[in-house]
Amino acid sequence: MILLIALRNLLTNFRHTIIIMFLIMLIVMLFFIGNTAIDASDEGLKNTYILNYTGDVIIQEKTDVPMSVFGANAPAIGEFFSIPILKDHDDIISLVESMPDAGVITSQISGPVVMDIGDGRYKTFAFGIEAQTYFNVFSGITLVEGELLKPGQRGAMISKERASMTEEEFGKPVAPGDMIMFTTVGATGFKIREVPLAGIYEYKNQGQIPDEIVLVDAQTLRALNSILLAPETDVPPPPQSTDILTDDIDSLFGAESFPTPVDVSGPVSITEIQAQLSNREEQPFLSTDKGGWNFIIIRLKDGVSNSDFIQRLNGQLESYSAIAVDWRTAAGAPALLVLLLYFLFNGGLLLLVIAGIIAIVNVLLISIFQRVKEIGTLRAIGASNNYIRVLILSENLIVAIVSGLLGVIAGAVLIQIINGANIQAANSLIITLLGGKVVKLGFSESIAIVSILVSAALGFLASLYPVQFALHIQPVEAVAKG
Amino acid sequence: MAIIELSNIIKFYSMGKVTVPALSGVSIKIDKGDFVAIAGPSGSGKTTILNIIGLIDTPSEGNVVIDNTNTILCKNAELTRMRQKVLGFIFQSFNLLSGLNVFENVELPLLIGRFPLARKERKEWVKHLLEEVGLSDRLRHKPRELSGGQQQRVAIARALATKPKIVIADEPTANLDSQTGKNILALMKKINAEQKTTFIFSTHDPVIHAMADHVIMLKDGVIEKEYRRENGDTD
Repeated sequence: MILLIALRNLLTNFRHTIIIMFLIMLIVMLFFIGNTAIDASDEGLKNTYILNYTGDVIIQEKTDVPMSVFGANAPAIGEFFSIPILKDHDDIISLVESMPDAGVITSQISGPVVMDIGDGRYKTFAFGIEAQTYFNVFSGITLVEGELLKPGQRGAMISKERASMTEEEFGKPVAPGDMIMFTTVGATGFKIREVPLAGIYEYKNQGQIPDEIVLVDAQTLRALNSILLAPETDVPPPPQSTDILTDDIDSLFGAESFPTPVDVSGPVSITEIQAQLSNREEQPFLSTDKGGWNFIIIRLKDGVSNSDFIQRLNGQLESYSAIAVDWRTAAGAPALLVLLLYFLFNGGLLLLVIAGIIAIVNVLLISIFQRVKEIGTLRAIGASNNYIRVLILSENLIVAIVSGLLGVIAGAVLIQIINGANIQAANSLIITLLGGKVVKLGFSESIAIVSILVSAALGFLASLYPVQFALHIQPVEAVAKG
Repeated sequence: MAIIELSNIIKFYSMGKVTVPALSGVSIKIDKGDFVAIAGPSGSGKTTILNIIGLIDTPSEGNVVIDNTNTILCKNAELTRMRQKVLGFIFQSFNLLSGLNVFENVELPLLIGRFPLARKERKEWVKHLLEEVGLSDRLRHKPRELSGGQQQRVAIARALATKPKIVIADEPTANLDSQTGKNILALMKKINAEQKTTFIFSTHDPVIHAMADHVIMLKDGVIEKEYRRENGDTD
């Protein structure tokens, strides 16, 4: 009966009810659409990063500054920051391989480079990859032209977008076999390496950051980043290499120890330098690359919880100076940007909710003021404080939940309209955030439920003061207002 | 034996800095089963006395004992319980809930007071009450669809729903034409005779208070005259 009275009261006071419903509906619709967009962005980013760069879990050396696969999240001003090498890489690999939840695993080196390709020079970011496993872990990478890097092969791969941009900029197509020169600068000076372009690829999800990434064989990037190179053979060094290690220390400094200097008095052409840089014998890699690595990247088996796996793994990593992090930490600033957007949006919405609550409280107070006689009558015929409280709360919760439901429906309709409009995002950051060029928002049941709960909470909070006001109405008011 | 006993009731209302006296030392005893009229001109204190007896207002001074309970000492919860179980109130302007129909209005006090009646029993009882007041054909009507006299009958049925020991009616005939007013009083008198329910009603109409067997005349907040009438007596 109390619900019936509440419903009838709502219909009787339709004018107030409709104002409150409109306010709540508007707030819930904004909440629903905003969070759906953020959720879509988060999901887009998650897919982009997990499938293309970070995997589900990344193991890295512990550092004082937050770090992603792109280096330090907070740039260290006035000093160089290099991504630390995983000290116990091989032991950790064995540890991860022993965990049944771990799917495929690969290792990676990262670092900024300057890339000369065609006639262009670009600041970019290189991933030194373990070619044997990298493309198993990152199934989002597909080959467009050329070939995927093979274990032991020196070379680089660039994205289709980078190749197109270079072609558009300089009018010359970029093709596999073209030479790419990489330059880095570090504590030990400049490092330059040149490798052939092995292939052109594209990522499943596009965005600003993918275009800037170049995949390089690990040895080349190690050389550029001054990291311990992997031994290129496991056979003992030839005798002539160890001949100088004699007991006769003085002979080390004899003239015979030094080759005849090359005559560089004349001009040296760029072609000659490039020929020198390229004139390296192909050396076989070991089946297992024993050089330094920055990261171990793991894709988990289907259905395995990231957070649970990371917790268990970190428990086992306690004896090492390494830590496992999720894709969001590994992704760095862009993923954190979504979190920031989430907090900013919901923070703004909280202000709107507070304003909404104040407005709803006022409308409810007016409504209760107009119902003093009715509430007084109820008290005169025996309604307790609790009965009045439940009555008013029921009325407001009914309004709030129905409005919340309508807000979600309105939001869903608007989302369908947005999706149907096939809106193309022009900004590459937005493309990255959306995980694609076309704005597509999904219907999230969990956000819909949370929106209705927010609506109910809004109705409840807005009712608190009006309920107190109603409880102060005395039975005598039934007569006084009669 | 007195079911209601008011001792030296004083009631004043504060209106800003001005204090307006409504009752100035009223003492009344009402026996169980009495049919009492509180008569007097407007402003004499009739409604104030009924509100105090109906526990919807409190006196500024004095004692109120209802059904052997000193209500001055009662907490809110006990006063609520007495309003549910002991008292029924009929308002001058009916005070029916406009959102509910006739049947639901009469059923409401039973639900509020959580009377231990099975659903079927409760429905039967409400129907019986509405038959008693002659509204069995108006069960699903909304109050606005009824005449003043019919609304007052619904209010009487609502007041009787919980089988209270005392029914208080504040000028129950004031908004009705004289014939309907007489009919309403006749109905109340009938219930009083049949169920021994104590009725206390206020009126300023001498024709109406002539139907009471215990008359309390008020003037300027004090009892001017009080008398009991044996069966068959007239003024």
